[in-house]
Amino acid sequence: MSFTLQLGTNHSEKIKADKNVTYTHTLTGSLKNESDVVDPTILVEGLPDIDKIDYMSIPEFGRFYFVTVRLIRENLFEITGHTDVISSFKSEIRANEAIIKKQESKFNLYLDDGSFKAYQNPKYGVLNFSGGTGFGVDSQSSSYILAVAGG
Amino acid sequence: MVIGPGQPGRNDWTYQMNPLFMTLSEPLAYANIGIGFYAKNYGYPELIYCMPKPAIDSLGYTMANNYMNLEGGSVSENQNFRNKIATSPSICIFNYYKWAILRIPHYVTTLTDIVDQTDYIIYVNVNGNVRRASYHDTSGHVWRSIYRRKTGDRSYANGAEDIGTGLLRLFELGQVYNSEYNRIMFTAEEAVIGDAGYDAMIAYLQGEEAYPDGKDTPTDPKDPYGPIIGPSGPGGGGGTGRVFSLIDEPALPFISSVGTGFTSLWSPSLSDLQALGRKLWSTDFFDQIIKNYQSPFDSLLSLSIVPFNVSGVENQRMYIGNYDTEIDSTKILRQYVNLDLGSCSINEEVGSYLDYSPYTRMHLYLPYIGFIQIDTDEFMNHEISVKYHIDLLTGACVAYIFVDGYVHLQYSGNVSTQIPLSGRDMSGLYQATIGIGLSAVGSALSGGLGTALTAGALASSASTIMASKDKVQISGAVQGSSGILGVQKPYILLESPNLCLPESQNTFVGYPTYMTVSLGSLSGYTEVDSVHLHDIPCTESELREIEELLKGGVIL
Repeated sequence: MSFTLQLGTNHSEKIKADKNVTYTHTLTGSLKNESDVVDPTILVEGLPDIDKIDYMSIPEFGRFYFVTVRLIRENLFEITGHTDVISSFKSEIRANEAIIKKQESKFNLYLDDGSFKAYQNPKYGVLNFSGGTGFGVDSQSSSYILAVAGG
Repeated sequence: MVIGPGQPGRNDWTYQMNPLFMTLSEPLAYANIGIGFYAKNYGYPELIYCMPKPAIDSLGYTMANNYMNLEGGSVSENQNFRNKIATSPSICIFNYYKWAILRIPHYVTTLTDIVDQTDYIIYVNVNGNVRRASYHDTSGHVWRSIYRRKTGDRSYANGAEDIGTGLLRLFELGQVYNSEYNRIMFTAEEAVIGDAGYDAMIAYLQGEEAYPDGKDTPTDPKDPYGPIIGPSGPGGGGGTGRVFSLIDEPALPFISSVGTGFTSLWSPSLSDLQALGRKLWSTDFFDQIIKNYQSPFDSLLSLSIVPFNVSGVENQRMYIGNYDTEIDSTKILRQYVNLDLGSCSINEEVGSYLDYSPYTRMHLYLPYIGFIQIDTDEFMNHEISVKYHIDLLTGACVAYIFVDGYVHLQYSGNVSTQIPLSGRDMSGLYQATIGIGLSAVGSALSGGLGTALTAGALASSASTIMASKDKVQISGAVQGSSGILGVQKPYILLESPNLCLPESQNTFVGYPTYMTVSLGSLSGYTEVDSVHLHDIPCTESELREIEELLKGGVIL
């Protein structure tokens, strides 16, 4: 089975669905031994800038992979991949519905899930009342009241 | 069940959960437009026959001799009609002119036995009156009248006076076919169908059990929260008002001691009081007043200072008892006055749960009453206003706390500062003050020592912080002479959590959502609480990994 793979560098977070990858190598070869689709291992000979490679795409498998590269002997490298399931199946994942626990932009702040932290010193403030006649103790705003018998 | 003019599959029936009986949602809505038969076919209800009125007429099923003549059509059509009924193992509803046909196999012992058909009973109710009941032996296609009710002839052989009781009796007792029992049902049904309140009630004998959807398979119960609570949605930051019960400010008392002739109230100026003081010690006053009182000061009920202007009629001659003081002063005509202390709007600071209890606490200071703790949840996002109703004679006051213009709470106190006239005890007057309000002391912050602070509380959640705080009694009552020394306007002391919010927290860990959302509609950090993944062409281990990652948080 002949297939093509691309090797490159992932610049995005590992958990991000839409990754920004710079592919630097495109290789074509054939499978000589059985290969695991989820965790493939591939031997590659003569690969420059090997230290920058951490991501791989195998379109024939329909998957993207996080890879680790191991030097077997001079100029022969073993590339071991593990499926980046979030990126590989992002379209299908997005077609699913879910109960969302936390979200970056769709949220309800009236839910108390204990995720907010508070300093030990609370804030104190005073809200004044405005308007109204109110009480006063100066000569203009207070009165004597005399209650007498009769009258 | 279908009743309608040739509309197969139409489901015009909804059922109560009783497995044996149910009620039509639209009782006999199509009663006069046709007939329909609905039957069990390979385990599922199926419309087997449905005819509009013209079709019935064309078949020659005429009303003759007060019963429905099913023999009147052509041989082939009649046979067809009867065969269709005969192949139905369950109920037929015949709702033209309010007819009802109830079909029950002869060998019924329990509900589960109604799975096949051999014979059946037909009950015909014409315009609410029982006219004919028959059973049919399919082997011979012979119609026999087993019951015919003549005018005034009614049989209640089993004591069942409605179809429900009759059916229950039949099936609960495991009765085999018995014309007496069935006849009871028939005769009873007349009463049912003839009654507007019950004419929609029928028995549904479709195999083992009748399920709400009318099928033989159970239906999953509907989510009881769904129609009441509805799906959760976005929120926060906006805040909307709350509608309270509307209690208007009470009117001031109309009847008072002022004007009775026993007591009068004055609002003297300082110079008036000075002149009066001189008069009190004059021999003239003493000689006059001592005739009626043991002491001249017995005629002076009280002298006090109130912290507001009191209106009255000026330049009125002041009498004490019958003694003319020859002092003109301001006479108060109303014992009770009200005073507006203003208003205050309480708005959310963040627009989140932290704006509410137990995170945000509020204490309302009321002059001459003291601090009271008010429920944050109750007052947040509302305008609070305060009005006092004051008794000028005693100084007693009731403070009304308004929310959006309507009374919510009331507290009592005393706004007067007594000026001693002599050594007499004025406590009697205080005891007479009204006490409908709550005690400010009792309403102040409860508690005392709270729970011990948690070690490392700096990183604790807001709830931990607020729960660990000692609850401090802020103040007791402030009234009487101490009140005049206090703050003269109400205010709200507000305590809220000092939030520790890292920049872009929502980008890194998100904010709480708890909504059912299509993942495709989201972008950014997303943490899933629950998902049933489907239609993903991957291995089982990959599926598990996807679910774990979604629950741990991904960036979409």
